[in-house]
Amino acid sequence: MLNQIPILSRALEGLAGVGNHYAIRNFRNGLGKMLESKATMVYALFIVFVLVLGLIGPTIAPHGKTDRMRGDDGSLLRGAPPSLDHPLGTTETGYDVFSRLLIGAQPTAVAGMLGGVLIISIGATIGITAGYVGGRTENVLMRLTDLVYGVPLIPTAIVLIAFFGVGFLQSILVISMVLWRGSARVLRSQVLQIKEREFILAAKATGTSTPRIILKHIFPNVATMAVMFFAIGIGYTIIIQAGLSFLGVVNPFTPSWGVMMRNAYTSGQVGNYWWWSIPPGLMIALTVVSTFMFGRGYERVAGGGDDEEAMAQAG
Amino acid sequence: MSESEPILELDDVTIQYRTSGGMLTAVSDASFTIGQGEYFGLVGESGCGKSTIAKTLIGALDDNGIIESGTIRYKGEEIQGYTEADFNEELRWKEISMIPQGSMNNLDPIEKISDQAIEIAQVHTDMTKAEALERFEELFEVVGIQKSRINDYPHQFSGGMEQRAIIALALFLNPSLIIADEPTTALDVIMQDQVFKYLDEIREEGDVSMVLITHDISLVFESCDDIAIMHSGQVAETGDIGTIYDNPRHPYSFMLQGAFPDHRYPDRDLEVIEGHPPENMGEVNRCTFVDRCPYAVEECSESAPKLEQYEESETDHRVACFRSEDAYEEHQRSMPDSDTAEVQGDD
Amino acid sequence: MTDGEPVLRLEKLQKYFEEVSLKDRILGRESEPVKAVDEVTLDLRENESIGVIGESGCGKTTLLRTLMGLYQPTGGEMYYNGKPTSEFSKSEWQEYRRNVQIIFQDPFNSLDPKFTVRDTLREPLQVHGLDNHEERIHDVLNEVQLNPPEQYIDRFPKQLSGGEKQRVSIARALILEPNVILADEPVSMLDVSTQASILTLLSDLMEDRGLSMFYISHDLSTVSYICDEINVMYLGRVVERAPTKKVLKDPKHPYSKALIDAIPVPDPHYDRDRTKIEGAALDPVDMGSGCRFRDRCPERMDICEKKPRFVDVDGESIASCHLYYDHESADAAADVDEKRLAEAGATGAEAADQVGDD
Repeated sequence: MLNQIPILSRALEGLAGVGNHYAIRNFRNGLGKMLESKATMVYALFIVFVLVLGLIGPTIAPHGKTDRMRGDDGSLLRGAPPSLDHPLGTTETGYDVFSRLLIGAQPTAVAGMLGGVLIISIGATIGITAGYVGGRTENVLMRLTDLVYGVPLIPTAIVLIAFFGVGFLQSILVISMVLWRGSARVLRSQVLQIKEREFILAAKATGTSTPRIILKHIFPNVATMAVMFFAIGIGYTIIIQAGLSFLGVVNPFTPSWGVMMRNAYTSGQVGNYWWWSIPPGLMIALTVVSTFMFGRGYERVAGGGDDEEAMAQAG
Repeated sequence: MSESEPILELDDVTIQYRTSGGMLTAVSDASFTIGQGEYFGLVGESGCGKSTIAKTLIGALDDNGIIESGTIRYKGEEIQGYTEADFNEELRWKEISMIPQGSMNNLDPIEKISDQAIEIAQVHTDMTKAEALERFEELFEVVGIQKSRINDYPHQFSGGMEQRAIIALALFLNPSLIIADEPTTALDVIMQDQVFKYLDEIREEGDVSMVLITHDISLVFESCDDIAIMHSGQVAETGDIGTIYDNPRHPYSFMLQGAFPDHRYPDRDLEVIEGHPPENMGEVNRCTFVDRCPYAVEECSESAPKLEQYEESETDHRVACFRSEDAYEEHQRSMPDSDTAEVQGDD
Repeated sequence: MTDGEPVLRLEKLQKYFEEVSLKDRILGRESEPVKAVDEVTLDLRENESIGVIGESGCGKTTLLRTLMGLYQPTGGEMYYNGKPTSEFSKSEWQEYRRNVQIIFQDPFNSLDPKFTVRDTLREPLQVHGLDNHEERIHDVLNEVQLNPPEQYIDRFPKQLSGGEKQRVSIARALILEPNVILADEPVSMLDVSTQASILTLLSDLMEDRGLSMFYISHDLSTVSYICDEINVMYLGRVVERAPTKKVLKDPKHPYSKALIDAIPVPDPHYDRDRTKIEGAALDPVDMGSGCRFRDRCPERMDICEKKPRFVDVDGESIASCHLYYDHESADAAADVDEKRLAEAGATGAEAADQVGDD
């Protein structure tokens, strides 16, 4: 029916065309396969939940970031245990923990996504280039990777923050500048394997240009692994940033979950006000675990397929 | 043909794999018999089930595989229900041993071959180290490798030699049955001949039976006594090699033979078999060759033909085909004359 | 065979690989290169198909990859339509890559698992800027007997059987309308029942399209269906060249003989003797000069320490073996020819090493 409206039908065709573009198609296939594994689906859903929270959290939070809770008598509601009004109680200085949790989802999610994107972008570029181009380029890039592997993450992060400043974005940048190393190594070794397969040789023999081979042949075949590292990158960024927040080298005014935990700690009331430190900690843990498990699950389900079928048929 | 009790008997064996899409039937109602001192060839193309049978006989069936029905008798004893432990204790290496495909890395690369042999001996028997070494040296002689080389590492052997060393290992504890799964597929043709030279000698001595599993029917015709031809899980035909060559009754049997090139007759047209072997889910209730068979009739898709003795043969010759009486004759009639003329002419 | 310029000519083509081990480096030693292809000379003419047969390690794969342009020769020359490839400009290479196509052995790895059949076939067209994609794809799928094309065009490799995958590989090789096909054992990984139809397809296509084919294999039994002439290679050198049937019936070089005698025959009534050859081939390093088969040859003589000439044995077969020539007169003739060539200014090819065709 909608097809009868020419513009719409053209648009639908266009969308279908885009939908058929190899990148999207691969993604859809991967998603489809992944959904076969219930566990992976659960983790994926949790991540989506956190992302949604990141989007709407600040909007749906019952109280604002700077609202201080006051009791019926007008005094500051310090360290109030969970109640109907405040399901997660209040902090030592009278903020509503539940609202802060919801608000805190946003910077946490942003940090995760940004970090994940940076990690995989740097890692994939370096890894794939090194793997495919080989020769001196590969040597240089891999030695760089080895160097970065050698540096201890947190101390280096602290040093770099001394350079770049104690900002929210700076902290993400600093983390990404070190964590790309894992994906670079693995993607490079994957590329090394793929590059010897006959369909690559066939493309070369026909005169296909190197950029084209990398984009159309190498990329889609390492994409599954890249998705895994992206997911893991999200998790890593969140937890490292939480760690940095805890150490106090992150801007304390961005109310991420890590900062919440730091505040709880520095107040000295961690033992007493458990409703303050445990929720953010739990959320961080669950989010990070979900990203790791989703990443690996996706890779296992969506990646292994082709080769296994080939093996089975050969038998 | 041996008078005594057969070494191995498979009776209506069905083996399936549990997959996400259901039960995949790799072997359906397969039956064949191997006598003492006999070399038996199991021939088929991809997906016919021969590798599954190889693994089952050595107790190495994949985790998702089950023997759904049928019996496997080794020296009269039923073994289809044996556990891993049973296989280890009773069968492996000393009764049934395996020569796997040459392309896989079957030897531990960081252990000397002699050490690997000693380990096997000590786990499965109570030979002393000295006895084991002496025995192993004897076998190296049998397979034509210098005795001194038992202390080498696997990578120091060339491909053909490594396979022969593996044969020595397979013979080590005097098994009665060797399962050879595509033992020479990864080897060049001259190396393959070297390996078979020694298999011939071992066959002469008459102590060991062997199941040679391969896709290459020439190897079976040259080196075995009997043959079973399988297609997509079903045994199409069994008998001694002369009978199956002179008088094949199953269409897959004679068409498969026709598909193999013979370098003595380089002009001969090769038989083309359309399609490819089907994958079977669940019970198999038809002849799996039906969609590829030019001689198929309605009956062929309605039920699986039984493997039965072909009455006009004097020897043990069994076929599973509703058209075993006349399919071959129909095939011969459709062949151009030049073919028969060439077969008669010789160089 | 047609006379005239060969489409492809290899002249004393060499491909050596340097394998410098750490030990050598430390000791400051010159290490021997791996002589994968050692002075191979051969011609491929229009409408002709030649086979290169040999076991693993003989250099045929390296030869093929050099022909593909994946490797640069370390010595000798390769001529395409008379022009040496070492002098090719970028556009000449592009033309070469359009006219010389390849089919690989392994159906499982020859196609990108993420590409549909259409994607695989479209890529060469896009790379070479040809239009009319759908039509060309349809036509070529018909030609390789994947009918109806619509049924296959959107499939992924894992939805195709081994034989179907090879047909797609062949289609990909044909879609640019090349004049030379390089084939690396395209049937060895297929079931026997499929081999016949692929071999028939290839030989029909060659005839219909007037293609030349360069076919490498280790399996002598299938080459007779495709190749007019066979070159037997051993450790980097061509040891025998003859029309296919001649090699199969009457091999001259002891290695060719051993090879053919070792082929299993699908006939239980035929009594074939097992090979008398012992051991394995030498490592392609440190082989010394002289015939490379000498350590295993049943006909070995003292003179085999010297590299044998490639000589015409009986008008049809050419072999590189001391058994087949009168050394004194050959040496004398070579001296005379060399002098004459030197005077005429040709680039020092030894007369006796020039291959007489036909």
